[in-house]
Order: sequence, then C-alpha cells, then structure tokens
Amino acid sequence: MRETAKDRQAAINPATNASGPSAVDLQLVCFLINGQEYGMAASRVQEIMRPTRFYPTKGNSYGVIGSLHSKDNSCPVIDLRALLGVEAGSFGEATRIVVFENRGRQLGLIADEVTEVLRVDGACMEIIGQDEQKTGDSFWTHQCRLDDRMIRILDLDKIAPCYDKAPKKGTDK
Amino acid sequence: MIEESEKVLHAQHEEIIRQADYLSGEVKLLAINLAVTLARVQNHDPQIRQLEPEFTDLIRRANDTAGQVADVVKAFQHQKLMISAIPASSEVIAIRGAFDKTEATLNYVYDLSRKMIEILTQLKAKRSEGTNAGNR
Repeated sequence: MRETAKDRQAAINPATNASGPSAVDLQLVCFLINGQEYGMAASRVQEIMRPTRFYPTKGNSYGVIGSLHSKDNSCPVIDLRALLGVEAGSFGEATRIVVFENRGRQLGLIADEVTEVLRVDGACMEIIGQDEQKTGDSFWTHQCRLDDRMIRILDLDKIAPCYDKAPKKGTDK
Repeated sequence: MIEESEKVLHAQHEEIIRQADYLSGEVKLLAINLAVTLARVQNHDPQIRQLEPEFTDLIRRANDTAGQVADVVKAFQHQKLMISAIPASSEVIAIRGAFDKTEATLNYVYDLSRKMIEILTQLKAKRSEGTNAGNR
C-alpha cells in the first residue's frame, strides 16, 4: 500500500491531529551533529538550552553523558554520537541541548548547533531503506529532501529504548 | 602613541564582535524556543494556527538578520585590519543598513508579539469564563 503524506507525518509525530487543515505540514527542529543535519518533530521538543547547567557523568548508561539541571528538575542528556559509536566531540560556542518529551519523561540530546525550526510538506518525506536504517541503528526511519539539503528525521521513540536497555554502571563495553 | 590608540580601538572592535556574536546566538536561541512553543500550542487554537506560520517565518528572518549584523561587524573588522584606515563610506552604509534592518525586524516581532499576547489574553478570559459558568 502506498504511504501517504499523512501516514508519513503520523509515523514521525504520533501526536499529530491528522484531520487538521495543516495535516500534511510538519514542523521540524533542525540541528547538526558531526556535520550531518537531523530533524525532530517540533511538537515533541520542550526547550533548547545552552549547556550551562550541564553536569557530565562518567561510566553511566550507554549514550548518557551527563545531566541537565533546568528550572524544576533534572534530566539525563544523551549524545547521539555515543549511540552511533562515533567519537565524542567537544562543546563549542554553538553547542545546544535539545530537551524533548519521551514517554512522559524529559531527555536531553546534545547538538553541535540548532539551526532552525522548519516547516516542511509531508510529501518531501521519504522512507530510508532497510540497509541505511541498520547503519543508523534505526534511530531514523525517514529523511527529508529539500533542494540541496538532506535532513534525517530522528525517531525519538527509538532513542529512549536504547537508554532504557543501557548497561548499568561498570558494565559498559 | 598611535600604536597605543590602535590597540585600544582593536580591543573595542573585538568586544563589539564578541557582543554581536553573543547577541546573535541569544536572539537565535530565543527565536527557536518561541517557534517550538508555537508549534506545540498551535493545535489548540485556530487563531494561533493562523498566525504561527507568519510568526515562525518572521523569527527565521530575525535569526538571519542577527547573524548578518554579526557578519557585517566581522567583515568590517577584517577590512579595517587589512587596510588600517578609516572605513570607506560604503562599509558604514552597510553597517547602518544592517542595524536599520534589525530594528525594523525587531519592531515587527514586537507588534506581532503584542497581537499574540492579546489573543492569548482573550483566550484565557474565555476559558476562565467557561470554567466559572461550569462551576455555577
């Protein structure tokens, strides 16, 4: 069965009201990690912060590199590079932490730079092939092609299980 | 004496560049957070849904303008170091143009923000009226 723009949007952003007038539009928070542009559904993002109240931790769960202390609480911060097995980078002037909602909890994601909030037509979305999904540990299932840009769309629900199933302290590889 | 004053001038320019960079970063962070908030709430209200694309586009342009100001100041500084002379009038015009553009964009953001606040205030009033009516 052919995937429609609404189906694609629903796959990326389950909270979308598919019956709304702008159902085929999708708003993405775009960011860079290791020079690659990624996007995540803006409706899932809670806040973007400078890493000023970030406290690094060592030997913690796989992918979690520290915690962020915000106004009322603290949340774990993950580095996608660690999940992908890429060497961790250093924090720069443009480094930001994207705090997003996942199954009722807050998670932070390190981004080298948050570039913009972009409105895209659901028709620009395409499914990534199975082989490519494997190389990305299936963190993204869709990508968006816009002129000379290719944005990988993170499936936020697939990031959290990696955190949940992460080995406990002292059992890291 | 001249070397001393050049050093002071250089330090002042470095400070302006640092502040322009920081301001650009802050405007961008604030603008992106505003756009994210609008993206989250727009499904709850048709008026916000109607205004949101214009507002997000404006935020994008405000980002671009803030970045341009930082770039112009940097370019000016680079040019100044290269020729060690008073900047040509075209550069001054470019800087003034960038600041004028920033001012115009920020004024527009201010007007539109006021409009958004008015709508949100009306919505809050309507909701509290509804809640009061329900409690009676």
